[in-house]
Amino acid sequence: MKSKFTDIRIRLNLIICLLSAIFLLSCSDYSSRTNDGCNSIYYWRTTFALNDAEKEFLHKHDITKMYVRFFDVSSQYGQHDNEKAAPEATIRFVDSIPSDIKIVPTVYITPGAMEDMQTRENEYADKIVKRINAICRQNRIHFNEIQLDCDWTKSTRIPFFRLCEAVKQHLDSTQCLSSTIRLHQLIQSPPPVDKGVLMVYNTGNLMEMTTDNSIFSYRDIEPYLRDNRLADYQLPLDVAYPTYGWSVVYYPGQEKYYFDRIMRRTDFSSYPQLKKIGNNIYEATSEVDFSNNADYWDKIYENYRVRVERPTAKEILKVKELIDNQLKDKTHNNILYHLDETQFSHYSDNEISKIYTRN
Amino acid sequence: MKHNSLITQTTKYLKYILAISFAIVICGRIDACGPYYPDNPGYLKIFRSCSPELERQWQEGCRFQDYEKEQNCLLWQRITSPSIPVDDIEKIVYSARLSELKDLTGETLADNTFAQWLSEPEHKEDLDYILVAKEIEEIREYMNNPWYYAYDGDEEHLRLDELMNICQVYAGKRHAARYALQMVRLYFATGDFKSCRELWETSISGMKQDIVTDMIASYAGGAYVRDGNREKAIELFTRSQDIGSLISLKAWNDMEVESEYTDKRVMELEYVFNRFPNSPLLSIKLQEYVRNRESFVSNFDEWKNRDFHDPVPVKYKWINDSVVADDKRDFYNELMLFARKAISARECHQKAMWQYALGYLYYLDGNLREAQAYLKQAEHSDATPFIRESIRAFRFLMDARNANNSHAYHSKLLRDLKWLDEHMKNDATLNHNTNWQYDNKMNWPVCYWQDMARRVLLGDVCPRMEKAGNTTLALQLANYATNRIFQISPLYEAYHYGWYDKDDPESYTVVLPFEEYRETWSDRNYFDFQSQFFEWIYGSKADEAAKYAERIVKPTSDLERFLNERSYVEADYINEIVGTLYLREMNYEKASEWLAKVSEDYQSRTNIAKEGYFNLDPFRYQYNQEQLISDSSDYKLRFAQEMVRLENLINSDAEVNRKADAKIRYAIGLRNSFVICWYLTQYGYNLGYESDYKNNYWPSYSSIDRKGFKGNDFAQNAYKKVDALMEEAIEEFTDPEKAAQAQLEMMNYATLMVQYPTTKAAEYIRTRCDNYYDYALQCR
Repeated sequence: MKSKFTDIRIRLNLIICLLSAIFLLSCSDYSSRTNDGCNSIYYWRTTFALNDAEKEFLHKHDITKMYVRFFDVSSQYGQHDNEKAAPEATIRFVDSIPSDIKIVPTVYITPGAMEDMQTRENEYADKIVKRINAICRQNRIHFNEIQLDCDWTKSTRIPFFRLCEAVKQHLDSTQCLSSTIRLHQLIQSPPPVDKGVLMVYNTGNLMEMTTDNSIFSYRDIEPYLRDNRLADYQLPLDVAYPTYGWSVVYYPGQEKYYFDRIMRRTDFSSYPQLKKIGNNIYEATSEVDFSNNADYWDKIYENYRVRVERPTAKEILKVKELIDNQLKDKTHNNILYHLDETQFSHYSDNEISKIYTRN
Repeated sequence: MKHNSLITQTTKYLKYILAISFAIVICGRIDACGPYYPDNPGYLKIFRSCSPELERQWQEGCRFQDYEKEQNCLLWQRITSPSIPVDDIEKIVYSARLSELKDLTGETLADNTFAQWLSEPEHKEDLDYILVAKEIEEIREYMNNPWYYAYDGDEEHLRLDELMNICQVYAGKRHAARYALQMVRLYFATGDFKSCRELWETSISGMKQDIVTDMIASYAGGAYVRDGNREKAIELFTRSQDIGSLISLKAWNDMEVESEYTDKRVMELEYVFNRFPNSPLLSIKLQEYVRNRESFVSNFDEWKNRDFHDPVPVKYKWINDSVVADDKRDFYNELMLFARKAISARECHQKAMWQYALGYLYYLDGNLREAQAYLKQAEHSDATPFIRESIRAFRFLMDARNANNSHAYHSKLLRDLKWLDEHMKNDATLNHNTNWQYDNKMNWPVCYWQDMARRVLLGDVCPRMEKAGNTTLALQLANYATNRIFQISPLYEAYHYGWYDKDDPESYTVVLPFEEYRETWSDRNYFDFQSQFFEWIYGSKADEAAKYAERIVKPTSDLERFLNERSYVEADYINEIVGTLYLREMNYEKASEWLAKVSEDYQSRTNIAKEGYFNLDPFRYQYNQEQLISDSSDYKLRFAQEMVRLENLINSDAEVNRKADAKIRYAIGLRNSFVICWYLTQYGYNLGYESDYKNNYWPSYSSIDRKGFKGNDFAQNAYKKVDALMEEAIEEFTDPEKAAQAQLEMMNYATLMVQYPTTKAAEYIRTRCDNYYDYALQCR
């Protein structure tokens, strides 16, 4: 006959097992919510429509998760009473979402809007989540993660963190919140989110002609990652790498060149008026007219300079190696910014696969 | 200070833009969104026939909500109880939120008699309607919010369907039209114009005409427009007095053949007048047209940018370097002809407004006899209180043409100013949140009555008073016209531009009281050194400014007391200016006397000090190297005192070389005070008026350059004295070493080398000739 104490011990063990099981289950649930081990990509256009090449790209690279920019939140001046920050450039879904792709609704918040939300973070969190839910319902999108993208600084850190806390209050147990993390934000404490996406692009000063490459430059990135900073960062991180390029146009001032605009075009081989004067810099020897019809103005003038920016796979992989070394003990995914057929032709499948490779 | 006569005050905006841009560029700092430089008072538009609120209602919605509100509330009062005040009805029907109405006995509506009335069970039918209407309104408001995103079957649409159903099934008579109005609104929101027309034809058209059925008629008219039935639409818009829709339909095109006018704008007025002779729209249009005549409407682009529906297009042309309104004379001739007809029309109840307009147009034409005649007529006609006050303001303007220094005029001026001041106090809002032009107090028409003060006092009375020899009163009036608004509306939204401030690199906006702004704001103080009062005192002789300063302390009449109490008369501010004016006039004894009264603290918060001047030694040549001083306290005062000491030496010292030395030092100080140390005699800013436009921006000129002061008579006189003193001194030296040293200090190296080749100074030059630009002759 078992003693009374044995019986109690058995019961106690059972309870401990049960609690452990619950704990482990909850951990695995958290883990599945925060790190699901898949190839991902950003979708950063205002109309959701995939062409065949893009569908093929998703399929070929086994991309199963897409961070889709749903809308921006920007400052509004005097347009709506009592609405200092309001949504803009809301995405329009023309195509349906491929069935095997998980969508992460992503909201870009401008720094000005973040300032405007100050002290009303709860109210705006409610509006953001409500709007995401409405967009998802209308377009039959299921989601279990929301991402907030904001270039918060010292002055907007606290309101952004409050906003994150408030957004989390609106999520159920199957949903999580992530946010982008810019390199300069790494030195501050991480936001109160479930995970972050380290943005390893737009790292240089776009406005300055003297910048080597504003999209991506090892020289610009490396200082931010010193002291094994990522290894110590108190937030699970995925990493987003750029696979896009553009050209930056500058016009000559009295003392220096000034930023004029960004052009999508990066191939100038058919324009002899653009003389290559540096590794990635051209100078116009006379007016260059890119307009292909009378209604469309697209010109640059004599002495303007154009800097072509497109990170090479080699550069990306060099930075990736640096990052992977620091994150070697932390499982993480790699994400491409962003889905655009015209940009992929500059990278081979093999190069894309290497960027996606997880350590 | 001279102001152009009205006739020649054509809009010289190009000059403004150039002058301001120039100042901004060379200042190297830009201030976002103002404050802007104050307008020349002659350019202020002060014809006033409609309130800003009425104008806003029209521009934003082509409707007159106030009229609709009033009529609707009166109708509610008729069907409920005459004992319920209209204000209480308005609160419930227009202002209260649904949540408040669901709790009629709650705290927020506790004192509202209409709420009490609705809460009684026998008035449930009325309450039900109000709740439905309010809910529809709030849902539509929510759906218009940029955060709203519609999805199939969302709760807003479902609820609107339910509410539509409630409206449709209402079988009573009491609120049949009101429920129909809600239905029409919902049809419009969903683009169902056919149902809207059907509803009009089947039930509403037969109902009694009142404000509610008129509002429906206006919607129905819109539905007919969409159906292409213009005639029916015009009929319904005319019935509902929906002039905005009539204008957008260009309904007056049909009467072109019948009209005696050729200008479309006057034809439009005629069309409106013939149908609605007392429409508020006439007052709005009239104000726009007369103000265009005053000077072309510069805020046209701003209106356009704010999506106003009915901006007034302004044609303009260039005459030499001025932009002027390019309205054919025919238009104003026709407008005046039309005004005369309006005055004689029996059905017109706004005769005073048209007489006032006609008088004002004659005034602008310089025909003062006719202007007086119509002004008199306007003063004796029936007018609304609003128009009555506009007419009085016009009288104030007309009388200013006879401003003189007599006791009788002073008494009349005091009476007028008391009246004006009351209006300023009542009009100027303290709530910066609701005043979108809050940070533009210096210029934009924040307050009509302050514009009026500036237009009349700065534009007419001050110049006349100065001409009559009473500069003291002119300065008192200028100070009042400029600074009174800052007492009445004492908050300022200051913008700190972080880009230029290493110590405080963040940009931010702070709302702070003027007093604090003056005392603590680390950026430039725009108001005290770029204001119209400052222009006046800066353009005065030092003795006149001094007399004014004394009169502030000891006013001699009620008028002076009234003005001084309502002006910015901080002793430090005034004394510092007076002292500087004496420096400018080379009266160093007087300058010392006045500058000695200025506190250290005040000196440190002047713009010049904030911008880091007061650091060069005014008695050293500042050529290829800055000669700094270690202690810049009492900079102006110490300069003045040293000049006094040197004057005494020059006048009394018997030793020739010492006297010549003193002359050289005095000449260098005098020269510097009009070149590199310009801030001893100038403030460095101007308003961009023609009078000071010719002057250059002092800080941009180097130490050797007198060109910046070409148009400055004070500087030119000083230079003559400098040259004479230097020549005298050189001749007077008996010691060649001292003479050579003086030449060295004046950088006259060639002269030095030729006349005193064996001196120590020449030896010094020989060893450093490259640094001295090969003996370049210094331009004094």
